[in-house]
Formats: sequence, structure tokens, C-alpha cells
Amino acid sequence: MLGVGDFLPVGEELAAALGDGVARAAVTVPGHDGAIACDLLLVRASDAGAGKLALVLAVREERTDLGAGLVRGLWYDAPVEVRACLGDGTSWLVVARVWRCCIAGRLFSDVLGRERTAGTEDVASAWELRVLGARRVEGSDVPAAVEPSRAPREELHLDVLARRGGLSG
Amino acid sequence: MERLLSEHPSFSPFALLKISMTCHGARLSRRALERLQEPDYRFGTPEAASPGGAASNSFDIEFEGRPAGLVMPGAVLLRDSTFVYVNWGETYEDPFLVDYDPELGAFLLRESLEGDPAIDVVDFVPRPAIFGRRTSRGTLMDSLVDVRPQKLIFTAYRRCRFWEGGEQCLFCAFFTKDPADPAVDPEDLYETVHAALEEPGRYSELYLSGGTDYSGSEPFENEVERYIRCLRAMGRDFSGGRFPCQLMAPAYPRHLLERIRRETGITAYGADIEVWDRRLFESLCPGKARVVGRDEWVRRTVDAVEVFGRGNVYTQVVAGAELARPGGLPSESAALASNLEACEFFAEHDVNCMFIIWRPHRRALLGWQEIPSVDYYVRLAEGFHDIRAAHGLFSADDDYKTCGNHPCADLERTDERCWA
Repeated sequence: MLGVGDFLPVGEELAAALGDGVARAAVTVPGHDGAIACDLLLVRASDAGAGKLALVLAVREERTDLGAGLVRGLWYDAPVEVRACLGDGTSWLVVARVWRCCIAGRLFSDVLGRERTAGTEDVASAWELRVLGARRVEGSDVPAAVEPSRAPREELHLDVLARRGGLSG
Repeated sequence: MERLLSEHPSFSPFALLKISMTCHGARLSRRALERLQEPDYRFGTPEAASPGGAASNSFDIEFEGRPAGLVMPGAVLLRDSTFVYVNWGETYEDPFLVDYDPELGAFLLRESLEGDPAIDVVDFVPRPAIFGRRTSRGTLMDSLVDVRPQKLIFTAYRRCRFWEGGEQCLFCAFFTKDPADPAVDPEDLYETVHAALEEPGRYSELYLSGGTDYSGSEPFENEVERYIRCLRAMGRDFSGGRFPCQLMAPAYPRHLLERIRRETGITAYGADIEVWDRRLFESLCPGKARVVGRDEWVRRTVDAVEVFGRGNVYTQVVAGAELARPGGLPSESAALASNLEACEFFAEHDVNCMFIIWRPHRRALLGWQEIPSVDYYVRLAEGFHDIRAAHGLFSADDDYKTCGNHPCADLERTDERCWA
């Protein structure tokens, strides 16, 4: 199960391009053809196995095709591809292993805080990636990505539901 | 662990590790236990730090083997956030070891000894912000809750009246401390929930249960009144709307369920059947058998779907207790068949039937017993998941995040049939 030491640190150029912003990415996950839209952030890594920084996908709802695909990637060591056009105009393709799913604790709280500051109401889980390869790509367009599928019941934290006055429907 | 992974290549390796850790137990290395005393993980309030300090244990289970002056951690979280509940300090034959690597800055799971290679990195449920805080009545919030990564578990009544006549479920070790005043003040529950909501994104689900109190002009009348008061207090911050919350209680008649549904904002109700086999229900759950009866319990659980809706009613079996000696089912195959029959029956009636892994406890009447094999629980998890998924059921109030107790629910995460 453990693959500590098999991964690359997040490169300086990519880290500088991401900064402390929230980038929109197109993610290809095991079990699905085509790309699914998701937010990408750079955070302090959960452990020192691949450097101090880590790429993280912020998943708004996990009972989705995106969530299921990320779980498959984590369970069976299947890589994911992340394409993003970043704030400095560069475009990147990252191939990564899904390292950790976080639903509480420092890394999750960091991601949630930044997402809510950026205007996203809630994040169900934060998915830490470990880089297998990363390179700049030509062009400034991120490939067309669909929004994740939706489950019958929305996934929102209780503090959000309290502000809303409870579950809808 | 390598052998198990090779024997079950398509099963979630994390659910497999969860089952294995639950069966074999785990202990903490000295450096892991030291790291877990630090503020981000310290899972309780030591007596020295606050008079009346307590560990998070709202079911009043008595544990042994815990070093004095140290706070035992919360549950283990695997790398995919799978929840693994470990009875820290209790005796196991061949437990895993959770160690800490200060250079890596991470906890490591090892087979047995500090020199063994690491199986994986693991984590622990972080310390919630409510710990160390008191309600306006002076109640330490730690003592009111069990805390999981996204779930707050409360108990409304810390005594089970089945124990009075020796009619408690034979596998149960809850509520053994018998406090003078077992009823929890609903305002303490309100204040704890209110405080918990101050920690952004920390909780997705509330849960209320308690020891059984069948008193009243009809059975369970007083208990239902108490649960309604508590649930209304817990839901006060949701402005009268529904909020993700499961009540786990005995199987009530329909008119009492309708009151609960009408007067509170909860989303789910659970009435645990505990054991499916008719003969074993009588012998393992004598109090439930006398006050309600096995067939009536099943009928009421199915009936509850008309009150709470399809997929919002739950039940569970204590998987492994059906094999306990003397008198249990003769083999793991027989036990598997019985439990799958239960799951299929309930799924056909739109009820989510789950299972938990039975952990014997010395205070229970069954005492210590040999527990079934890891392979048994793997087959059970696959079977329960496949049955529920085939019926289009998923455990919104009881899944890996909103509960964490059920290996079968963990398997929903990659199966989009469940919520499509």
C-alpha cells in the first residue's frame, strides 16, 4: 500500500504559477472517459514524503462520478490526469497518484477556508495528490470538462445548513 | 496484510485494512502516544487540566489498559479517511502497531513491532474545538459526545433498563456505570451542537441514541418524550428545517414514529435488529424479545419506511455475535447466509440493513470470545453492499463519512449505482 519515496515534489515553476489561488482544472479519473471540472490548490503537504507542498483537488460533493473516480485512483493506485490553465497564463498537465482523502484536520480545513473565501459554499473532501510527472503544455485553454454528476441528497456541512435553515426539499 | 491483499485483489484495500485492524486490534508506540498528547490530536481533557476531565465516551464503556494521566486518541483514519474504531488499551492477541515517524511527520501502521516495515501512513480523528469547553450548566462537552471526523454522537439516557433484570443484550457493554441521574439535559445538547457549528466544516451528521427506557403508560412513552425534547434542542440552530440526524432507538409503533417525524427535524431512524435468527434473537436479546418481540421488531422497522421514507430507515446486525458460544450458528457459512437473508429482506422493504463488526468486551455477558475470520467480514461486506446497491439504496446517514462503522457502506464510494 505504501509508496513513500516514489513521487516527485511539486516543481518550483508550477508552485509559483499556482500560488495561493484556486485554479479551475479538468481532471480525468479512473472509470470515466473525458474530463470532469474541479478546483485545484497548492497546500502544505500532509507529510514529508514528497516535499513540503502538495497539489490538492477540492471536491464539492463526493457522491459523484468525480468522487468515485478519485476513490478508485486511491484504492487501486491508478493515476489521474489534471489539466489546468493558471493565473500566469501557463497551462499544465500533471499526472499524479491520489495520495490521501481528507475530510477533517489541518489540510482539509486549509482547503475549505480558501474555497469559502473564494466564494465556494462548501467542500465535501480534499484530495491530496502525489506527482508522478508534470509539464507545461501549449495553449491556454483547458480541455472541455463536464460538471460532476449529482446524487439525490446534497452534501453540505452542518454549519452551512444552519445558515440555510436546514436541508432543502 | 500482504496475504489478505493478494487473496482479495478487487476488494477495497482500505476496507480490508479496517476489518483486519478491528479484528486484531492495535496498540500505540510510546512516541505515537506522546505525539497524540499534543493539542491537534489530544482527544479529551485530562483530569489534571480540568477537574472532572473526561475522555469522549458518551456510551460509558469501561476500558482497561489505559495509562494514567494520558489521553487516549480518537479513532484511526486511514489514508482514504476510512474510520477504524480501536478499543485502545484492551487486550488483543496480535495487534497492529501504530508508530510515529518524526522525520516524515506522520503516523505509520506496522504489523507488530517498531522494527517492522510500514504498511501505510495513517492518521487520527483530530481534536474537535468543543473539547475543553463547558456548557452553561458546567458540563464538560467532552463527556457528552463521541466524535468522529464528521459526526457527533450524543446519548440522551445513560442507563439501559434491560440491565436491571439481567435482560441486557448479551454482547452489550454500554452504560455499565449507572449514574445517579442518567438523563442528559437537552440544553447541554443544544449548547454543544451550537458550539460545534462554530468550527467550519467539521460536522456533516448528528446522531442520538441512549439506553433503553420502556417506562410510560405505553412502552417507550417516556423515552420518546425525552428523545423529542433532545432532538428539538439539537436542531434548534436549523430554524425548523430538516437536518442530517439519525435517531437510533428501539422499534417503536407507528404513532410514536409519526410524532418523532412531525415534531423534530431528523432525516433518519434506526432500530437495530442485532441478530436475524429468530432463536438467537430470543437468547441474545432477552429484553428486546420480551418488550417488543422479534417479529414485531421487524414489522415495526419495515413500517417506519412509510413515516421516514425509502432509504431513511436503518437497522443493523452485530456480525459475529450470531456465532458466539454456546448456542450460536454452527459455521461462518451459516452465519453469512443468515445475515444476507436479513439484508435482502430489509432491502426488499426499502430499509438499509448494515452490519458492525462485533468486538467482544469483558463486561458483556458473552465475555471474551473468538471472533470470526477477516474473510467472513469481507464476504459479508461484499454481500451487504451488493444487495443494497441492487435495490438502489445508499446509506446517506450511515456511510463512511456520516458514520464510519460499516465496512459494507465503505464500498459504496466507488459504486455509482448506489446514488444514480
